[in-house]
Amino acid sequence: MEQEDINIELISDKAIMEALVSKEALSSMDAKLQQVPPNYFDEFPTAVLEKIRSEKNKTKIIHFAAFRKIAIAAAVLLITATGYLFSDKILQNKNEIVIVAIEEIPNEEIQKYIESNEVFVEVDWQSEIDKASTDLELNYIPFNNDTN
Amino acid sequence: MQGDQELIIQFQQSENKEAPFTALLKKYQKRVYYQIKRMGIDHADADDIAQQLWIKVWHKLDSFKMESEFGTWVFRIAYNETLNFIQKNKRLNAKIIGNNNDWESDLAASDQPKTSQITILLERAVLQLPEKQRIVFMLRYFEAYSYEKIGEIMETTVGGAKANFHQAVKKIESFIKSV
Repeated sequence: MEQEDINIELISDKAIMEALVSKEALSSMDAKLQQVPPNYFDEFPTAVLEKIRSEKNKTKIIHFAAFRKIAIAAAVLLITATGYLFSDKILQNKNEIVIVAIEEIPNEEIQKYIESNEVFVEVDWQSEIDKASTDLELNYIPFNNDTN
Repeated sequence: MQGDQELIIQFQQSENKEAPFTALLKKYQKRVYYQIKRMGIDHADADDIAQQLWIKVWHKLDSFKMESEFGTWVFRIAYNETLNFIQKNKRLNAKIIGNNNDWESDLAASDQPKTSQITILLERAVLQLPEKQRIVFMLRYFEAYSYEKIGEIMETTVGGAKANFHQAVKKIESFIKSV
Protein backbone atom coordinates (compact mmCIF):
# COMPACT_ATOMS: atom_id res chain seq x y z
CA MET A 1 0.00 0.00 0.00
CA GLU A 2 2.78 2.37 1.00
CA GLN A 3 4.78 1.53 -2.14
CA GLU A 4 1.63 2.09 -4.17
CA ASP A 5 1.26 5.58 -2.70
CA ILE A 6 4.89 6.35 -3.52
CA ASN A 7 4.37 5.16 -7.09
CA ILE A 8 1.28 7.37 -7.49
CA GLU A 9 3.24 10.36 -6.13
CA LEU A 10 6.13 9.63 -8.48
CA ILE A 11 3.84 9.43 -11.49
CA SER A 12 2.26 12.77 -10.57
CA ASP A 13 5.72 14.36 -10.07
CA LYS A 14 6.90 13.03 -13.40
CA ALA A 15 3.72 14.28 -15.05
CA ILE A 16 4.41 17.80 -13.76
CA MET A 17 7.93 17.70 -15.18
CA GLU A 18 6.83 16.19 -18.46
CA ALA A 19 4.26 18.92 -18.80
CA LEU A 20 7.12 21.41 -18.60
CA VAL A 21 9.67 19.61 -20.74
CA SER A 22 9.47 16.55 -22.95
CA LYS A 23 10.29 13.10 -21.62
CA GLU A 24 13.04 12.84 -24.27
CA ALA A 25 14.70 16.00 -22.99
CA LEU A 26 14.71 14.66 -19.43
CA SER A 27 16.14 11.30 -20.49
CA SER A 28 18.67 13.01 -22.70
CA MET A 29 19.76 15.18 -19.77
CA ASP A 30 20.27 12.15 -17.53
CA ALA A 31 22.07 10.27 -20.29
CA LYS A 32 24.44 13.22 -20.61
CA LEU A 33 25.08 13.14 -16.86
CA GLN A 34 25.85 9.45 -17.04
CA GLN A 35 28.65 9.86 -19.57
CA VAL A 36 31.98 8.63 -18.17
CA PRO A 37 35.41 7.93 -19.69
CA PRO A 38 35.82 4.38 -21.05
CA ASN A 39 36.57 1.68 -18.43
CA TYR A 40 36.07 4.24 -15.65
CA PHE A 41 33.96 1.97 -13.44
CA ASP A 42 36.24 -1.04 -14.11
CA GLU A 43 39.29 0.85 -12.91
CA PHE A 44 37.65 2.79 -10.08
CA PRO A 45 37.76 0.04 -7.37
CA THR A 46 41.50 -0.48 -7.99
CA ALA A 47 42.14 3.27 -7.74
CA VAL A 48 40.27 3.46 -4.41
CA LEU A 49 42.05 0.40 -2.96
CA GLU A 50 45.44 1.79 -4.00
CA LYS A 51 44.66 5.03 -2.17
CA ILE A 52 43.56 3.09 0.93
CA ARG A 53 46.79 1.06 0.87
CA SER A 54 48.93 4.19 0.49
CA GLU A 55 46.96 5.82 3.32
CA LYS A 56 47.73 2.81 5.53
CA ASN A 57 51.44 3.50 5.03
CA LYS A 58 50.83 7.15 5.80
CA THR A 59 48.95 6.13 8.93
CA LYS A 60 52.11 4.44 10.22
CA ILE A 61 53.88 7.79 9.93
CA ILE A 62 50.95 9.44 11.70
CA HIS A 63 51.37 6.92 14.55
CA PHE A 64 54.96 8.03 14.83
CA ALA A 65 53.80 11.62 14.61
CA ALA A 66 51.58 11.03 17.63
CA PHE A 67 54.73 10.41 19.69
CA ARG A 68 56.49 13.37 18.12
CA LYS A 69 55.36 15.80 20.79
CA ILE A 70 56.77 13.58 23.51
CA ALA A 71 59.96 13.08 21.49
CA ILE A 72 60.34 16.84 20.99
CA ALA A 73 59.71 17.50 24.69
CA ALA A 74 62.29 14.85 25.66
CA ALA A 75 64.82 16.29 23.21
CA VAL A 76 64.29 19.84 24.54
CA LEU A 77 64.67 18.57 28.12
CA LEU A 78 67.85 16.71 27.21
CA ILE A 79 69.32 19.73 25.42
CA THR A 80 68.43 22.02 28.34
CA ALA A 81 69.90 19.65 30.93
CA THR A 82 73.07 19.05 28.92
CA GLY A 83 73.38 22.75 28.23
CA TYR A 84 73.00 23.58 31.90
CA LEU A 85 75.61 21.05 33.00
CA PHE A 86 77.96 22.07 30.21
CA SER A 87 77.65 25.81 30.91
CA ASP A 88 78.21 25.19 34.64
CA LYS A 89 81.40 23.30 33.80
CA ILE A 90 82.61 26.15 31.58
CA LEU A 91 81.96 28.63 34.39
CA GLN A 92 83.95 26.52 36.83
CA ASN A 93 86.75 26.19 34.29
CA LYS A 94 86.75 29.94 33.75
CA ASN A 95 87.11 30.60 37.49
CA GLU A 96 89.94 28.10 37.71
CA ILE A 97 91.73 29.77 34.82
CA VAL A 98 91.50 33.16 36.54
CA ILE A 99 92.83 31.78 39.82
CA VAL A 100 95.70 29.98 38.17
CA ALA A 101 96.54 32.98 36.05
CA ILE A 102 96.80 35.33 39.02
CA GLU A 103 98.95 32.89 40.90
CA GLU A 104 101.24 32.33 38.00
CA ILE A 105 101.81 35.98 37.07
CA PRO A 106 105.11 37.24 38.43
CA ASN A 107 105.02 40.27 40.70
CA GLU A 108 107.04 42.32 38.25
CA GLU A 109 104.49 41.79 35.56
CA ILE A 110 101.66 42.74 37.87
CA GLN A 111 103.56 45.86 38.83
CA LYS A 112 104.16 46.71 35.18
CA TYR A 113 100.48 46.17 34.42
CA ILE A 114 99.39 48.47 37.26
CA GLU A 115 101.87 51.12 36.21
CA SER A 116 100.89 51.04 32.58
CA ASN A 117 97.19 51.12 33.38
CA GLU A 118 97.26 53.59 36.23
CA VAL A 119 96.10 57.04 35.33
CA PHE A 120 98.84 59.44 36.17
CA VAL A 121 98.15 63.10 36.02
CA GLU A 122 101.38 64.94 35.78
CA VAL A 123 100.91 68.06 37.81
CA ASP A 124 103.23 71.01 37.36
CA TRP A 125 103.12 72.12 40.95
CA GLN A 126 105.04 75.41 40.46
CA SER A 127 102.67 76.75 37.79
CA GLU A 128 99.70 75.69 39.90
CA ILE A 129 101.09 77.65 42.89
CA ASP A 130 101.74 80.69 40.70
CA LYS A 131 98.24 80.52 39.31
CA ALA A 132 96.78 80.29 42.79
CA SER A 133 98.77 83.32 44.01
CA THR A 134 97.68 85.39 41.01
CA ASP A 135 94.09 84.59 41.91
CA LEU A 136 94.80 85.62 45.48
CA GLU A 137 96.20 88.98 44.34
CA LEU A 138 93.25 89.69 42.11
CA ASN A 139 90.76 88.91 44.85
CA TYR A 140 92.66 90.81 47.53
CA ILE A 141 90.54 93.39 49.43
CA PRO A 142 92.68 95.55 51.71
CA PHE A 143 91.70 96.23 55.36
CA ASN A 144 91.11 99.86 56.45
CA ASN A 145 94.11 99.93 58.72
CA ASP A 146 96.37 98.59 56.07
CA THR A 147 97.97 101.76 54.86
CA ASN A 148 100.90 100.30 53.01
CA MET B 1 25.49 -12.71 -4.73
CA GLN B 2 25.98 -11.78 -1.09
CA GLY B 3 23.72 -9.26 0.59
CA ASP B 4 25.00 -5.96 1.99
CA GLN B 5 24.64 -7.10 5.59
CA GLU B 6 26.63 -10.26 4.96
CA LEU B 7 29.41 -8.30 3.25
CA ILE B 8 29.52 -5.75 6.08
CA ILE B 9 29.79 -8.50 8.73
CA GLN B 10 32.54 -10.11 6.66
CA PHE B 11 34.34 -6.75 6.51
CA GLN B 12 33.96 -6.17 10.24
CA GLN B 13 35.04 -9.65 11.31
CA SER B 14 37.53 -10.80 8.73
CA GLU B 15 41.22 -9.97 8.32
CA ASN B 16 40.75 -9.75 4.57
CA LYS B 17 38.67 -6.60 4.33
CA GLU B 18 39.39 -5.82 0.70
CA ALA B 19 37.17 -8.54 -0.82
CA PRO B 20 33.87 -7.59 0.88
CA PHE B 21 34.67 -3.89 0.51
CA THR B 22 35.30 -4.26 -3.23
CA ALA B 23 32.01 -6.14 -3.58
CA LEU B 24 30.11 -3.31 -1.86
CA LEU B 25 31.97 -0.68 -3.87
CA LYS B 26 31.22 -2.40 -7.17
CA LYS B 27 27.56 -2.67 -6.26
CA TYR B 28 27.06 1.00 -5.39
CA GLN B 29 29.80 2.89 -7.27
CA LYS B 30 27.68 3.87 -10.30
CA ARG B 31 24.71 5.18 -8.34
CA VAL B 32 26.96 7.09 -5.95
CA TYR B 33 28.92 8.60 -8.84
CA TYR B 34 25.76 9.64 -10.69
CA GLN B 35 24.32 11.14 -7.51
CA ILE B 36 27.44 13.31 -7.18
CA LYS B 37 27.38 14.27 -10.84
CA ARG B 38 23.71 15.17 -10.75
CA MET B 39 24.51 17.86 -8.23
CA GLY B 40 26.26 19.76 -11.01
CA ILE B 41 29.77 18.38 -10.51
CA ASP B 42 31.99 17.61 -13.50
CA HIS B 43 33.68 14.24 -14.00
CA ALA B 44 37.11 15.10 -12.55
CA ASP B 45 35.65 16.50 -9.33
CA ALA B 46 33.00 13.78 -9.10
CA ASP B 47 35.81 11.21 -9.36
CA ASP B 48 37.76 12.94 -6.54
CA ILE B 49 34.68 13.17 -4.30
CA ALA B 50 33.75 9.54 -5.01
CA GLN B 51 37.26 8.31 -4.16
CA GLN B 52 37.34 10.32 -0.94
CA LEU B 53 33.92 9.09 0.14
CA TRP B 54 34.79 5.42 -0.49
CA ILE B 55 37.96 5.87 1.58
CA LYS B 56 35.73 7.33 4.31
CA VAL B 57 33.41 4.32 3.98
CA TRP B 58 36.44 2.01 4.43
CA HIS B 59 37.39 3.78 7.67
CA LYS B 60 33.84 4.00 9.05
CA LEU B 61 32.52 0.59 8.03
CA ASP B 62 33.95 -1.12 11.11
CA SER B 63 31.67 0.99 13.31
CA PHE B 64 28.61 0.76 11.00
CA LYS B 65 25.76 -0.57 13.16
CA MET B 66 23.30 -1.38 10.38
CA GLU B 67 20.65 0.89 11.85
CA SER B 68 20.00 2.15 8.32
CA GLU B 69 20.47 0.54 4.92
CA PHE B 70 24.05 0.53 3.67
CA GLY B 71 22.98 2.25 0.45
CA THR B 72 21.23 5.08 2.30
CA TRP B 73 24.27 5.50 4.56
CA VAL B 74 26.64 5.71 1.57
CA PHE B 75 24.34 8.14 -0.27
CA ARG B 76 24.23 10.32 2.87
CA ILE B 77 28.04 10.41 2.96
CA ALA B 78 28.04 11.18 -0.77
CA TYR B 79 25.53 13.98 -0.26
CA ASN B 80 27.53 15.54 2.60
CA GLU B 81 30.85 15.21 0.77
CA THR B 82 29.38 16.82 -2.35
CA LEU B 83 27.77 19.60 -0.35
CA ASN B 84 31.10 20.27 1.40
CA PHE B 85 32.84 20.36 -1.97
CA ILE B 86 30.27 22.81 -3.39
CA GLN B 87 30.53 25.06 -0.35
CA LYS B 88 34.33 25.03 -0.50
CA ASN B 89 34.24 25.94 -4.18
CA LYS B 90 31.25 28.26 -3.95
CA ARG B 91 32.94 31.15 -5.73
CA LEU B 92 34.11 28.98 -8.60
CA ASN B 93 30.74 27.24 -8.77
CA ALA B 94 28.88 30.56 -8.83
CA LYS B 95 31.13 31.71 -11.65
CA ILE B 96 30.31 28.63 -13.74
CA ILE B 97 26.60 28.60 -13.00
CA GLY B 98 26.21 32.34 -13.13
CA ASN B 99 27.75 32.66 -16.58
CA ASN B 100 24.37 32.84 -18.33
CA ASN B 101 25.40 34.58 -21.54
CA ASP B 102 27.35 31.60 -22.86
CA TRP B 103 24.51 29.10 -22.76
CA GLU B 104 21.99 31.63 -24.07
CA SER B 105 24.12 32.36 -27.12
CA ASP B 106 24.82 28.63 -27.55
CA LEU B 107 21.11 27.99 -27.51
CA ALA B 108 20.38 30.76 -30.02
CA ALA B 109 23.08 29.62 -32.41
CA SER B 110 22.22 25.96 -32.04
CA ASP B 111 21.03 23.97 -35.06
CA GLN B 112 20.28 21.06 -32.76
CA PRO B 113 16.85 19.47 -32.67
CA LYS B 114 14.34 20.94 -30.26
CA THR B 115 14.81 18.11 -27.71
CA SER B 116 18.51 18.94 -27.37
CA GLN B 117 17.70 22.61 -26.91
CA ILE B 118 15.22 21.75 -24.18
CA THR B 119 17.86 19.52 -22.58
CA ILE B 120 20.30 22.45 -22.46
CA LEU B 121 17.58 24.61 -20.98
CA LEU B 122 16.65 21.97 -18.42
CA GLU B 123 20.29 21.49 -17.40
CA ARG B 124 20.60 25.22 -16.85
CA ALA B 125 17.36 25.31 -14.91
CA VAL B 126 18.54 22.48 -12.65
CA LEU B 127 21.93 24.12 -12.12
CA GLN B 128 20.20 27.32 -11.03
CA LEU B 129 18.56 25.49 -8.15
CA PRO B 130 19.94 25.70 -4.62
CA GLU B 131 21.96 22.56 -3.75
CA LYS B 132 19.30 20.96 -1.55
CA GLN B 133 16.51 21.46 -4.08
CA ARG B 134 18.78 20.20 -6.83
CA ILE B 135 19.60 16.95 -5.04
CA VAL B 136 15.98 16.33 -4.00
CA PHE B 137 14.85 16.88 -7.58
CA MET B 138 17.50 14.53 -8.95
CA LEU B 139 16.93 11.79 -6.37
CA ARG B 140 13.19 12.00 -6.74
CA TYR B 141 12.98 12.27 -10.49
CA PHE B 142 15.86 10.13 -11.74
CA GLU B 143 16.37 7.65 -8.87
CA ALA B 144 12.63 7.49 -8.03
CA TYR B 145 13.44 7.56 -4.31
CA SER B 146 10.66 7.95 -1.77
CA TYR B 147 10.56 11.17 0.23
CA GLU B 148 11.34 9.07 3.32
CA LYS B 149 14.58 7.84 1.80
CA ILE B 150 15.47 11.30 0.51
CA GLY B 151 14.82 12.66 4.01
CA GLU B 152 17.10 9.99 5.46
CA ILE B 153 19.91 10.78 3.00
CA MET B 154 19.65 14.51 3.53
CA GLU B 155 18.94 14.22 7.24
CA THR B 156 15.71 16.15 6.86
CA THR B 157 12.01 15.42 7.38
CA VAL B 158 9.66 13.97 4.78
CA GLY B 159 7.86 17.33 4.72
CA GLY B 160 11.14 19.13 4.16
CA ALA B 161 12.04 16.83 1.25
CA LYS B 162 8.58 17.30 -0.31
CA ALA B 163 8.78 21.08 0.07
CA ASN B 164 12.22 21.11 -1.54
CA PHE B 165 10.99 19.04 -4.49
CA HIS B 166 7.96 21.25 -5.14
CA GLN B 167 10.07 24.41 -4.84
CA ALA B 168 12.52 22.89 -7.33
CA VAL B 169 9.76 22.10 -9.84
CA LYS B 170 8.31 25.62 -9.48
CA LYS B 171 11.72 27.22 -10.06
CA ILE B 172 12.42 25.02 -13.10
CA GLU B 173 9.00 25.96 -14.47
CA SER B 174 9.52 29.68 -14.02
CA PHE B 175 13.07 29.46 -15.45
CA ILE B 176 11.87 27.67 -18.60
CA LYS B 177 8.94 30.05 -19.04
CA SER B 178 11.17 33.09 -18.64
CA VAL B 179 13.42 32.06 -21.59
